[in-house]
Amino acid sequence: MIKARIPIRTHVITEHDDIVKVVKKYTGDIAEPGDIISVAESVVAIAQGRAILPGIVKVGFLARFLCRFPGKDGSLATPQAMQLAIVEAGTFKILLGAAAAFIGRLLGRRGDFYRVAGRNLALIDDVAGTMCPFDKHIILGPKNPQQVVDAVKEATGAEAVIVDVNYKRNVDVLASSSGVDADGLIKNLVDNPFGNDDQQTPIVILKTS
Amino acid sequence: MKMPRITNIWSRIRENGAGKLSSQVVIESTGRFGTMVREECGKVILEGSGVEANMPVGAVEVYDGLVTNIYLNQVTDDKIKILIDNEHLAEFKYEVTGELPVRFIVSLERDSILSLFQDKKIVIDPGHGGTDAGARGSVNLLEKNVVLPIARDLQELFKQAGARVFLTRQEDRMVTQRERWEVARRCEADLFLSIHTHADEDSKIGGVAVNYAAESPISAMLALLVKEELVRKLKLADRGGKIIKTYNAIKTVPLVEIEVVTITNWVEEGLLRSPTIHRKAAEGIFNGVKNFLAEQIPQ
Repeated sequence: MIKARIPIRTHVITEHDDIVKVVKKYTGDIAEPGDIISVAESVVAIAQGRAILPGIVKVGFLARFLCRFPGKDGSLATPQAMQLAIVEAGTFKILLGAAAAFIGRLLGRRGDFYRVAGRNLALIDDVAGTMCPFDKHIILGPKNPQQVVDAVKEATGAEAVIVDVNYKRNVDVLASSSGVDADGLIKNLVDNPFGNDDQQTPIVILKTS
Repeated sequence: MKMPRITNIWSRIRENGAGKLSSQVVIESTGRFGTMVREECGKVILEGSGVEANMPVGAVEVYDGLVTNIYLNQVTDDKIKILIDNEHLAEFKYEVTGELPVRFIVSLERDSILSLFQDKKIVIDPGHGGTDAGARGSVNLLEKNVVLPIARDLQELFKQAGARVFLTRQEDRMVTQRERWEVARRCEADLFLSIHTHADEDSKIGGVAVNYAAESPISAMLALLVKEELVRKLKLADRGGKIIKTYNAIKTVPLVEIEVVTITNWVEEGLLRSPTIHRKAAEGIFNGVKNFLAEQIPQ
């Protein structure tokens, strides 16, 4: 039973930070065993060096071609983001995903690209103008999220989750430590207690006692 | 027992039941602590005892038209000082609510901003429309479409501040230059703000520019102030501003053409997909216009 939610403001997290140490530093005196520390997936990725400046991405023909199909609000709608998706998944999977998306559209179905090419690609955040100084970066999904939550639990004694929450009220739990009911957690995060990325509160402590 | 810790400071603009607007500065803590709130040289200061900062000390940037920054300082191991830097004089109220987190809320009345905008007639002109698509982004966005949500956000901010707002178009339709001027003439506009994006053959060129009419020093001043605040909000390059001779058609009205971003730049086209950027652009333009109106008041 979640009794309170405490958004935690941090310094600007960069690739020079160890995310486990950051979480320990800001939650160590507040979170207790049984509480749940939720961390935004974007800062985990940033600390892992997975924020990429679009200017350094060498865009190929395939990325230029495919980026025209996700729709103007899609997260792979720029050639650079699509190129990074190709690097993440490999050309073969991307082509399979594109073929599946084409057939899916004919059938009036959405989401087939990510189902085939890899759900991790849906975690790629294109430039969004928020979370300065990474407001003009493309941010990939975090690597090994399960290892990160296990390390956070070991360091703090509290439970831990990595989540992707957005302003459209979509909540995706990427990884959770052993004592967390991930499905039950979603209703506590659906209104995005992390706030806008600009608010610099990438950690929310869910108090259970 | 553990000492309370300040976990977050943030702000918002709120309307009370009587329709009055205030800038609320919210300080969140894991418990209650002793506070003293006072005004010093027009700034609001909150001093707290028996508390320590869990968040980094230093500035929290706001720029909502009234509050620029909030500064948190850990004075001693168990004492903090928070300075709210407000641009205009403001009455304030203070309250403490909630349990976990406890919220210490300082509400600064925005009457000084309302008085600047009162009875002002502002024309917002979203560029292009209909068969005139304007510039095209490197991927697929069109200028005529991206300027509309920015214009609507700006309309909301001006209305909230008490101005009368007129849009030259509300939807995707063709509007001639003459019709746009006519809107300004009919409502006897005090300001004319045309919203555009820049286009360049070089997709690496990017940034903000604000253009203005040749024979209007007052338009040049408005352009400068709007550009300054827009650059601050969007954190993009400053491309300056140029004189546009066709704008001399309505000499008596301060008039600017705001190129919010460069749509042909890969990154900036990407930014335009985010509603957050539309809102930030509108806030930047609003702050610039507010500063312009404040400059017009005889000292």
